[in-house]
Amino acid sequence: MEEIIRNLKVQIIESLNLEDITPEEIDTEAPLFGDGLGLDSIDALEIMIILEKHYNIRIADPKKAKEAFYSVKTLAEYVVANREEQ
Amino acid sequence: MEYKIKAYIKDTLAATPIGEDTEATFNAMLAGKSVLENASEGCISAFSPQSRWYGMNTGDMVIEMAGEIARKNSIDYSDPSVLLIISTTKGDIKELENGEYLLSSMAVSAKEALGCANLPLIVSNACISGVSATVVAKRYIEKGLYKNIVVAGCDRISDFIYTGFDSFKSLSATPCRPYDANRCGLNLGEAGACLLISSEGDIEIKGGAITNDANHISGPSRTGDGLFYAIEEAMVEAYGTLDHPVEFINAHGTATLYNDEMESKAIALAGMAAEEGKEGVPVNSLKGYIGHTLGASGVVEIALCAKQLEHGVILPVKGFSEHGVPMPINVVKDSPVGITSKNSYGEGRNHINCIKTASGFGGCNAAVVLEKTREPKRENLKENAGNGGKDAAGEYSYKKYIIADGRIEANGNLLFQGPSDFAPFIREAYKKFCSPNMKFYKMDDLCKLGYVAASILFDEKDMAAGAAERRDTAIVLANEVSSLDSDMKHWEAIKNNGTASPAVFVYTLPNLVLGEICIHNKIKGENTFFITPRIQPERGELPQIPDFIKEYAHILMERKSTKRVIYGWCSYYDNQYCAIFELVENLN
Repeated sequence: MEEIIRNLKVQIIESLNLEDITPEEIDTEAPLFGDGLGLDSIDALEIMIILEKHYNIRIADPKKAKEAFYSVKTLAEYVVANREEQ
Repeated sequence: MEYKIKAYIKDTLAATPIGEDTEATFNAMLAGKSVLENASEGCISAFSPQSRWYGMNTGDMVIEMAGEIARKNSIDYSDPSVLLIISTTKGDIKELENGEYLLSSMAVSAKEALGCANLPLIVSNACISGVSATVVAKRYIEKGLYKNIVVAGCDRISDFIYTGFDSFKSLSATPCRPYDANRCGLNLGEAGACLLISSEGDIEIKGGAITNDANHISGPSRTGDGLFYAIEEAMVEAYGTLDHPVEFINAHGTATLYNDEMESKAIALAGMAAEEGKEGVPVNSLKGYIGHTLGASGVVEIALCAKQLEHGVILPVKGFSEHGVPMPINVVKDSPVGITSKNSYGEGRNHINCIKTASGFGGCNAAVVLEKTREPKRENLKENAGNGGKDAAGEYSYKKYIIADGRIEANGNLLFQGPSDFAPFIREAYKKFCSPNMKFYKMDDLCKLGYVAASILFDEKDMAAGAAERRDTAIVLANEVSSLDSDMKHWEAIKNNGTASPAVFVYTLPNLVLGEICIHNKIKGENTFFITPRIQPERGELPQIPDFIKEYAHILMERKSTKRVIYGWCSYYDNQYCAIFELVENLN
């Protein structure tokens, strides 16, 4: 879990061009969208691509994955859960 | 009494997969035809091999169509009172397969092929390009700068475009369903169209406006305010008031969840949705017949609006069955509706009319009001009705900012000097002049350049005053390369991985730089991006702002609604960068 969290943070920073931010600065439990990191709908699409590319998880309907996209923690939990199912 | 030249649509030529010209396309729509039902994978409305337009590239199609409409109307492009305005998002971007592609080359090729006295202008304003170009043409005609302007819109669907929209998850695999509860995205479509806009004709372009909702680069406004402002400004220009009968609204209606939602809110803000005792202005979208034809869409759809007015018939929304947008707009369902005397001439009016709108990436919106009078009068003078068109007297002040070669100059004084390499330079300049913004590093380099230039231009005092939105501020920029730098990145990704990144694709439109500037500075006025060859007196010297950009900025300044215009040149490609921004402000 810790490793997935760490990796997700690095991948998010890299693919979302969050310059000047280190993985340590991303609060694992803070909201990714709206307040928190201030991500938007394009970032959500990019995170879907991260999940596909690095974890082989395809999300057909982004609305259903809304809870998973709340924070890095929920995202990591989603990754763990959906990987186990495979 | 004050008089003014009017702008009319004199003739149209709209070629779509369901009809080779406007009349044929209109008749096919009346019969409910579309090629989307039988479209193969991807559900694209594409020209069939039987069509004369099949496989033709964008530049050639523009030349062919613009030539045809001119010949038919005995207009010659070698006449200096004739201008060609091209509306396109990507032109022949598939040429990237063979290396760099300059969108401005379309203007040069058209000039040579058609023997133009004036270099054709290209408007590249995302999905509002066609309506934008029509608004520009209207202003030029009214100003008396040209007697005849042909607006030609064209885009072709290539892997570049398809893969990008696919990465945005905005494509529907089945025929699209505008405003429907079960809508699930748009269909891309191919088309080409021309409008001959002239100082005489049957359909008057009575009002026109372009706005920005300054909300998000790809997501439409949550409130519909930007589109509402465009409708309001166009109606006020046309009739002096928003409260004037309208026969129908031909909206953008792409059938994406958020676009249609936003449009319903804008129409409701304009007081044109259903209310108690009022059924609301009929609203249609033509995307169910021909898909979303991008840079051609505004032109094709204005041509078909003219046909609907001419025949007194409002087309239904193909694919619509169950109302599925938040506000109760009156979507035209199932069958064509006649424009009856009850809701038009019978009310004592001598005309029928419609509003055509479009909205696009970069937060842009546009609206035109088209009017057909019962007995067309062909005189070209009118009493000046709306206040939007009135010349505003003013005392103008000017500021000039230049970013190039590692230097930033303000009104001739060196403001900042950094490394000449773009990446470290813009980073230092951003840190020195801009307040921290998480979004900055996500922008492509063209947007970073424009963003920093605009931030410097709005000085501290002005920024404080600008806490409120700026409907009175317009931006008009140009370059020769369009968004080529991001285009190349997007194309490389498709070639190497077969997929696209939405965060890259969104920047493959030059007007995104206008969007980023508008979002940050809350600018909600006109925003237009032109593509034109670079004017560079000597090698190594800075390019010049083209004269037509200055001229257009000053046409905008004459509008009462405009207090200041930022205009200039903004170009980035492969570490070559140059931003020359001028600000003209009315001190009165």
